[in-house]
Amino acid sequence: MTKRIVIYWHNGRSLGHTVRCMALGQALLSHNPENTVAGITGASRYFELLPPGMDVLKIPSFLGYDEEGAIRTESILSLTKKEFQRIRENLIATFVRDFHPHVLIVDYNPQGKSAELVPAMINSPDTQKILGLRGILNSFEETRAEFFNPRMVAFIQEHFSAIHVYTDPRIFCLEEYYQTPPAITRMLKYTGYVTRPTVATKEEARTLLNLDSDARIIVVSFGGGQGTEMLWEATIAALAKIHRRFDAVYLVAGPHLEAPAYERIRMHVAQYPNWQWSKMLNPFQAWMKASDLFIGAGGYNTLAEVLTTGTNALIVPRQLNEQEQMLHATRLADMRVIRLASLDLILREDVSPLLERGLSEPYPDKTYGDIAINGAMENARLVEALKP
Amino acid sequence: MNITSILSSIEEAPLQSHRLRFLLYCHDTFGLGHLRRTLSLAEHFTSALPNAEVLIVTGSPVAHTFSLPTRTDYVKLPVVTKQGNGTYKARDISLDFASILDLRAAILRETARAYHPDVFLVDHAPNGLKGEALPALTLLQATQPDCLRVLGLRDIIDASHIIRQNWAKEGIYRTLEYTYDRILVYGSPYLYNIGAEYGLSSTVSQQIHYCGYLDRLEDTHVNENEAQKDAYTPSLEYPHALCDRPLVVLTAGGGGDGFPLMQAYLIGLQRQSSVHFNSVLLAGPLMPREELRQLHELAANLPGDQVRIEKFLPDPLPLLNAADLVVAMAGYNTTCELLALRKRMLLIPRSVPRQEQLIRASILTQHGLAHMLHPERLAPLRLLDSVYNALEQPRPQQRQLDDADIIFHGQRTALEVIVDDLLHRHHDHLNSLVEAAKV
Repeated sequence: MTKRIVIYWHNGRSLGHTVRCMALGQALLSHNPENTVAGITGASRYFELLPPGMDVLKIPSFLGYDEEGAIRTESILSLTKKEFQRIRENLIATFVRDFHPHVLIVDYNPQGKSAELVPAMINSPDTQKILGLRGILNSFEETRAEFFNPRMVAFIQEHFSAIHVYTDPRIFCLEEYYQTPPAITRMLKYTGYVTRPTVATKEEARTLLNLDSDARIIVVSFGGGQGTEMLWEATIAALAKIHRRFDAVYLVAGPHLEAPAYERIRMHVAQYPNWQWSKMLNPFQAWMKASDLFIGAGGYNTLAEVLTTGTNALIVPRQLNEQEQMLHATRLADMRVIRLASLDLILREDVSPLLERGLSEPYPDKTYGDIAINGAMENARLVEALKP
Repeated sequence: MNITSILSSIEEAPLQSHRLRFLLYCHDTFGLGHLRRTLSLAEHFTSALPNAEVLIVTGSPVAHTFSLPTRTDYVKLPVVTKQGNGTYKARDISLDFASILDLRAAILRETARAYHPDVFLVDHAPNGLKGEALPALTLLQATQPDCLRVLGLRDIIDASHIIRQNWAKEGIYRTLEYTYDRILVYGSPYLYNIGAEYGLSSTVSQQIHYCGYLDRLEDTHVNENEAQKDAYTPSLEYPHALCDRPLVVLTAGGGGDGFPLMQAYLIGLQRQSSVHFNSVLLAGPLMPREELRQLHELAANLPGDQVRIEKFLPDPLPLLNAADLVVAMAGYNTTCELLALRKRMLLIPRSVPRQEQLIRASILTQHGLAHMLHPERLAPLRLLDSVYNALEQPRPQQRQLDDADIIFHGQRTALEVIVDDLLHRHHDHLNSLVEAAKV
């Protein structure tokens, strides 16, 4: 049976949810090309990553700022909070009502941002709903309060058919860590990490990217890049100290690094031959696969792609207010899948010895066995198996 | 009335108490033209009026590739695309056309309802795509009568007989008569008088304001008096020095139907024993991947330092300004840019499904501002002959633009007219309140 499927993700700024949801869309379409997949999102960029056959309704966006005090979100438009909420809520409800999907996959937040999904969910009783969670959400206390309070548990039970957890339970077991209520635990289905497909070997990646097969290559990327100037300067300083140990380094700023910072770093990098500074590199997974050492932040997608590509990685969790990246990276570092350096360490100390070790003693240590990385297709299979 | 006096008027008016909300709609089923025009207006509105903000509703699949002006956001509708036979269909999601049209119309209407705009500016299609803007227009007219409903038209829409037939069939004359408060035309009545050509009633004609062409250089640092090859070259890391030889740039806007032009050009180059100019081909983001691949294959047989293909440049103006000749179709935005830069241009206009480009190219050719090769005569060697010929001609002069009544202050005039209309409406509203109080 062909299905109309809607994937909702709320965000307006960062790349992570968008990349993950598009990977899900791609899998749903490749599993059954007759499916129709549409996204609803406040994200305003990266639609070039949409797989052929997937469309998106983009609603007005939040701008999100990860500041030292807290995560701050606000509308680009000068609407009151209530007006902004109403416009997004109306558009979502209208789309769901008229598109009449068989399945609605909700990324991360069961009720959507500020409960904006609630009217659409209440008014679509024939649509089966799947809650998709990346696994590690936030600190124990915050997650219990936000996701697993009695009212939210009742809401999830009432509206969702299942909860898909996009990780491997050996790395993170949601029910153990957050002590989820039994009603929630019964709904959990671990699918493995959700990532996009990529080339199989480093040789293939280097051929694809026209890179010298013998060169020692480092790739560095801190996700979207917002607020990373100090991290870049510290990393560049460490790389400069060991520049004889590699042949080329590709530094990927990300689309959200502030323009003046981008320019300052460009000037700094220009003094080094064989150092390349750019906003984006595509396809990024192939660049990771082609590298001898990858240095990056600890967001879900980066870590999932490190696992998929088997990349030798040094990870710097850079969230200021949330613990997800540090918690996730620590689990993987404990299994010797990646190396870990805290933001504090990178900013305050000379980490060039750590980089040198990263080059000379590559990870991952394969003793942990295979981690489930086929989450996108497993999700597609589970959605396909849903009974009407 | 100039913008300064308008702004000072606004400061005294209660309009100042909140941000001026512009809702801009462009249906965009093909190409980049409507969206680029809409973004250009948004840029001017928000930079000229510090209390203005813009929400754009677009069907463009490539809206995310453009930088948005400050205080501007957008809603993207599900994409529909025009098929070869002139009918439309959903591009990606498997809904029949009637259903996706209903869905798009509902989203536009709900956006209008919730956003509560002060101005609703519809680009190009008075009813929206197949009538999809009508529910929003009707809603605003009924429930938010203070909202100024404005239609923005480019200089030429299509041949007169086609427009008259289509507009009669689709009820557009009625929409123009009863639904819009103002019609802005981004062109010149001297070159093409929309009121006369399209048989508009005197009532509707009175609503028309010719704004002049849109100033496509307004927010760039391009100076039409300077050769900018040096400035352009490093930004694209060219392996060869563009300065040494003449530069020919080919552009086909979005690129959705630009392949035949680019293909003919590359084949034409292959048949030359030697070529004394360099070429950059802007394929456009909407060119199908397979066609782009074929172009690269053709270019591979040419000396590598002579031809370069770019899929997409967010800001092509520096490149266009670096050119000695631009070979283009005759889309509105590109033509405005080339006229403003006073570039030599060789136009190979699109002639189907609309004749707008053909008419525009013919008019400009008549005024000595462009060279034209009719699309039915497009062939590799003929195209190259036309290129050689155009390269030898002088650049258009400012005097020729003046003679043709081509001026570039479309955005500024559009905003002035809108604000003026708002002020009048506002005063009428205040007066009616005073009158009501007296009673």
